[in-house]
Amino acid sequence: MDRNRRPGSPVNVEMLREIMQLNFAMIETVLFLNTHPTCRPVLDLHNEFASRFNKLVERYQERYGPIYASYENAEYPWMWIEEPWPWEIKY
Amino acid sequence: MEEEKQYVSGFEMDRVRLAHAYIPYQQYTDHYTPARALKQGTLYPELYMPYQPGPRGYY
Repeated sequence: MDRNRRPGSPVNVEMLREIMQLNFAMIETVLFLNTHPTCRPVLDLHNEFASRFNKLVERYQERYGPIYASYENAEYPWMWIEEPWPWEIKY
Repeated sequence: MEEEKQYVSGFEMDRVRLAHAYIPYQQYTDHYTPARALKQGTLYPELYMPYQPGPRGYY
């Protein structure tokens, strides 16, 4: 989808917040699994959070541009430097 | 010369035993939603223990 991106166009704070929440929850399951590798319920939880996180990041990047520099569909021109820095985003 | 003793003021160090830390093994029972987990700083209700303001400050 073409995004007529003005430099520094607004980010989607709501989606970014949800991405942070999913990332945090997923890491919490990783920390637990490191000491409880045979706990299937938390393993299932990990896979759910990881999947939701990956899907949301993918959707976000398609619409709003890269969150990670490793995004493979960056649009012309390169907007990375125009985006607000993470600490500039007001949540 | 008296053997070098480690003194904490007003505390007889040589009669003090070293601590034995015991951390109960965490059992998974439930979890917060991602939104609440990020806010509360943990995914696990049993680990949510914010410092409460008390007469001697936070503990």
